[in-house]
Amino acid sequence: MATKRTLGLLGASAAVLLALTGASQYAAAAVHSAARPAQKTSAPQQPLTIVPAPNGNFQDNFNPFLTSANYGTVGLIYQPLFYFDNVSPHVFPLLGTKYAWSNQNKTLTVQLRHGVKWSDGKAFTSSDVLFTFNLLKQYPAADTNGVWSQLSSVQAKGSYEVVFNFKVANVPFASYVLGAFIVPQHRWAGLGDPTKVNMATPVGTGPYVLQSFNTQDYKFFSNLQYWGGAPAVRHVNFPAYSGNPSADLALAKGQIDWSGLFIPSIQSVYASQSPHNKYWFPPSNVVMLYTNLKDPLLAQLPVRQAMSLAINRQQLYMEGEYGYEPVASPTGLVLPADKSWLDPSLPAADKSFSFNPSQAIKILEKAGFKKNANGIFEKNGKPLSFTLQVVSGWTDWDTDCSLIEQDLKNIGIQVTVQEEQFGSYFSNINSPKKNYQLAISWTNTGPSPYFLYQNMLNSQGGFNVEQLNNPMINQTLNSFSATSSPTVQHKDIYTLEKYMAQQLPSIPLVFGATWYEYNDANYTGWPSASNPYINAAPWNPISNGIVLTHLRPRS
Amino acid sequence: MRYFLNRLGFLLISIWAAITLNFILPRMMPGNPAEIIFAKFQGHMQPQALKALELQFGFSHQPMIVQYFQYLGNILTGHFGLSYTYYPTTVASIIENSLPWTVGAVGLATLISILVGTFVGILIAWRRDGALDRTIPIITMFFQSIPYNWSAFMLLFVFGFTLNWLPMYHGYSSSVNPGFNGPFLSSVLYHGVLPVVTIFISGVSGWIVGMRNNMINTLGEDYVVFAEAKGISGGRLMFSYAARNALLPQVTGLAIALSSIVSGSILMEQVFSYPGIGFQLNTAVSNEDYPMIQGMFLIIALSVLVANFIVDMLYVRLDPRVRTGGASS
Repeated sequence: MATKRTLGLLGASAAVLLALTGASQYAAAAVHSAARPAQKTSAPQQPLTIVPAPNGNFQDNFNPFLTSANYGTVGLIYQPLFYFDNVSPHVFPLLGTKYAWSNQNKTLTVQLRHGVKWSDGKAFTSSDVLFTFNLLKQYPAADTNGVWSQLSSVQAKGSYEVVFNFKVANVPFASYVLGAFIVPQHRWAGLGDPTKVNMATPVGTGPYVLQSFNTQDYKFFSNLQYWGGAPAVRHVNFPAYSGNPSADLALAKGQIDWSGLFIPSIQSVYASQSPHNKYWFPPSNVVMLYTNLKDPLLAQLPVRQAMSLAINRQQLYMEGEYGYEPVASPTGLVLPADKSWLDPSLPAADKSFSFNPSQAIKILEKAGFKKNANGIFEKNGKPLSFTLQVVSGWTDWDTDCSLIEQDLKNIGIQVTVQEEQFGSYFSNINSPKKNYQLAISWTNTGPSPYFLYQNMLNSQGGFNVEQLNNPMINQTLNSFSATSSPTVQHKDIYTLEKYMAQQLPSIPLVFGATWYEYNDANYTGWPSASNPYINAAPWNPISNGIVLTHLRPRS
Repeated sequence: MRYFLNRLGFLLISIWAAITLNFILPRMMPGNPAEIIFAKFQGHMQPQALKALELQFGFSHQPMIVQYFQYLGNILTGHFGLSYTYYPTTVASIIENSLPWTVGAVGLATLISILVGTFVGILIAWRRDGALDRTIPIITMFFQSIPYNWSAFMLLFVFGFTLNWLPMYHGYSSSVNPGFNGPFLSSVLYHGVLPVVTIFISGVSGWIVGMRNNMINTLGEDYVVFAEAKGISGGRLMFSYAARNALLPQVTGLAIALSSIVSGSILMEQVFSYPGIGFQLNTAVSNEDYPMIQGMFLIIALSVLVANFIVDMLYVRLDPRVRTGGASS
């Protein structure tokens, strides 16, 4: 999605008017930041400036249980046991060191890291883990990943071992359980419902501690007692940029080191300005043309096949998506991130899409459709005429939709693009009673391709927009989640790939990209296309802290 | 007195209507804030998170009428609720943090525009058909007709990015300590220059042209000709005789301008990343953050109504015809 933005007279009175407005409210902020741990700098070093996304004034809240928490709260301050990356296949051990499945994959035993200290000096132990999970159980509003929908109990065995008991075997779900950030019991025990807390002085185990806060800028300093060793990047700044214009210019000028901004024509606007201005837009999900399978016409495979053949995806990639989001894979995999999961025996026709309108027409004719007086294919008096829903103002998708409209019109399928406000669009495609025929939308991805398939294809899936209900597919997904054997898991994913490519439950269009720009003038070690070790989006929780610990000052 | 009560009654009824609309309109928008937060994550948040978000925000399932009276009660006691976007920060504190910046920058720019515009309008009308009269209205109108965000962006690009004379963003530099101290105050001023100039150049034309036309009308009145014939000095004629009477329509304009100060300048704040209320308002609307929308629109509606009320009162002093219901004219 692309987000799109007489002085002589003044004298003393003007100065006072303008300045007063700012000054009064900051008296409080200044006092408050003084109360935070002061750190000594060893050597003067350029701070690293991060702008994850345009943002208005910040609020002084570093409560990890809230989606409104400031960037860096989870990742720089709070950490989970493990981090399962969704771009690379890596699993990063953080507060945990090892985990193992037992009891037919219903019991997960985790070894905790020794010698970890909270930033206030107290030791981290299994009782903090236990406390955090009990907090999620007690306050379901805080349990955003729904871990207690899968867990039956959590136990500590000594200070450095924790056992998670699952209701049913669900191996991939471990990424949510182990990926839940841990909070210190001694700070949160008396606070009640964690979603109602304003946390201005956070204490965590992560690589950074909060140094100062004001509404347009907050700063972190490296945690000198971090278990992995104090990060080489000492100072990290998060300034607020409410709009793209000023942020884009600051980025081009090298005043921002790391950002996740959408920038049209990035080569001329940004990359050409300095040899240090770099970017990488890795595919991170699949943009899908969802077909409502409860619609009697769209339920017919030839209709979906013809549509898929008639869409010029290369044009969507170059025109609709500014050349940033390449053509998707018919398998539904996010490539190249998921390339280790690609079935080697898949026929070539299922590995890449072809653009072939004449073939599309043949398929429709073979299926018994005939063109009517208006040049639209129809069968039994029912013309192939659909509405296509998209969010108005999401300009790249809006362009894609008008290109699709044109492509399908060329083969005799009539599509009317319906631009909706996000709220009505989303309830049309996501409420239990769907109210759409065709819609363009994203997919929900995770650390393995299972998550995309599970959310989209399982009849109980979280984002089953197309309303597929296929017992064989449900069975395959259940088989995947019940096993910890990579061989069985791969076999299951191969089945799903083949089903996706041949049955087209919905039509993949292009990959959704993650925006990521970085400046390597002061620091090196950034994730890049040649070294894709982790999701590089600065707004992605947890991975942002891991990236920072991988950076080194340029000598 | 009757006029005053009349106006006061009108003020109260308008406020009630504004408050009620404020309640109804956001609830007519489809979707809910939890879904919008979910969408912002575009596939990076698990669908089950929707449930937790709805629990967090505590959506009320009580009948609308009960919610309405709760809402009225909260407003009377000054409780605007918690923002969803910045949950659990109170709406009041968000407004408190952002409104002063907007009132400071936009207010100052508006005041300068009015003062300068009116004064220039008087001057060029006095010397009409002079060189200034032929150039100033055209030049300022040119700037006014440029789309506002474009001129802001051009100023930013030229003075901030290319020449490096002025800061490109923010209300003050991140290296100063906010508080009542010299470096902070001068930083605020320095950062305020571009936003204030942008609003000034895009708004001053209306004041100049308006004042100039009023002046020319007034200058043709018999009493001005008579005063001139009596030999009254030029300056006195210009200011005390002509300008004073030509000012009335400007006062009406002032009421409208004052009320738009509070609603801020969304585009200016976006371009310069200025920490004002305009951006927050935009965020609130796009996130369907009902409590924040309600709080902000209430402040805007109140300021419009109160500004109008004050101007109505001012008019009574300035123009006796208003007081007598036009009986003497």
